[in-house]
Amino acid sequence: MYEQIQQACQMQTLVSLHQIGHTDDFFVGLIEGYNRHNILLYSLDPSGRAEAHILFPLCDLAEIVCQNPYLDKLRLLSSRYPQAPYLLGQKENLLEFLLQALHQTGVQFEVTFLNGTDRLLARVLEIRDEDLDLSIETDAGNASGIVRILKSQLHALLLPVNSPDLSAHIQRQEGSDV
Amino acid sequence: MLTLSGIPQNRIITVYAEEEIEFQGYLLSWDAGHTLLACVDRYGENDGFLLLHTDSLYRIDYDSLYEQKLETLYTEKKQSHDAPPLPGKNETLLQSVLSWVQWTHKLARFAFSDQEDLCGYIETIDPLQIRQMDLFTCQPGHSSACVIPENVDFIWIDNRQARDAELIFQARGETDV
Repeated sequence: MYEQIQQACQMQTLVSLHQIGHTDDFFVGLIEGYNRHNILLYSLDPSGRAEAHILFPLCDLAEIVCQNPYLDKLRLLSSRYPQAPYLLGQKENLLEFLLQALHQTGVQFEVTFLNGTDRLLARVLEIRDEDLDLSIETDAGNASGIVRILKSQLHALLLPVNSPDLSAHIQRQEGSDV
Repeated sequence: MLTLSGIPQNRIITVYAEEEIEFQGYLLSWDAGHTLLACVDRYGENDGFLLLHTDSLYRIDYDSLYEQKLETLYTEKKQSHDAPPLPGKNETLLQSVLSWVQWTHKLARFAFSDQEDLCGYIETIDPLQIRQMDLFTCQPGHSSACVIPENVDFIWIDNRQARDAELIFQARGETDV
């Protein structure tokens, strides 16, 4: 599966990612980055519009599909909209890289934890070696508490696609990494 | 291991630990081995003390609307905790808390992940020997059990159920249970 991910990322192939235990639930998009632990997907909604940059653990993946009629349809639909995936490729520190970007730009994102099903709106307050502080917010953007959590307990990060600050920061950082 | 410095000690926090442990309360103290919490129940009332392994903690929440509600209830209901003394020199938090529990003759619940919980009074600390009590029926047990402290997931001391049991013992005139 890892080779399939590498290839899909290099070729920027539209894929659908099926999660273990959620056979009817899947994400469609372009693989923007990956390593042995995580995968970053430029996720598209059913009409082909960009939805989010989603980072989730590789161990969650049951299957990657690169070719089917639904993907053909989405390929056509998505070609009508501008697409701006990050081109991070294989990146060992993917989680840390994204957390730092979220911290430095103060951009709001969604997060899920390993032992929870809720998607929480959050901003990164502080990052340490093993854990981080998140400011949790309501849908209206009001503060609703602080969570300190081990990085190993983070499940998925959903980054907005409509944040110029975040995109600029990531592209700048990526450029400086190269 | 989760960083505990910087967590406000004057605010109610929610602690999440392995084995699906979730408690609300005030963070009192910690060392590399254990963390002590003054527990507050869902009604904002004193629910004893919780001692758990520091390395089992993976998440702490504070300042949410729920924790703010509990803080208000705790204050308005004039609740307080008579906290155990801080560990002395060359003493771990575990040793210090166990000594305090024995000295003050408090009922404690010892929780394990792979076997039934044990409730009772500490008879000796080294080895840790517990005189068992049945907190459900409030009957004194007839046996003692030896416990390896490292195998205990958490120790819940003087919680509401334990205090209710002590009220029953007093009502029955069982002063030396």
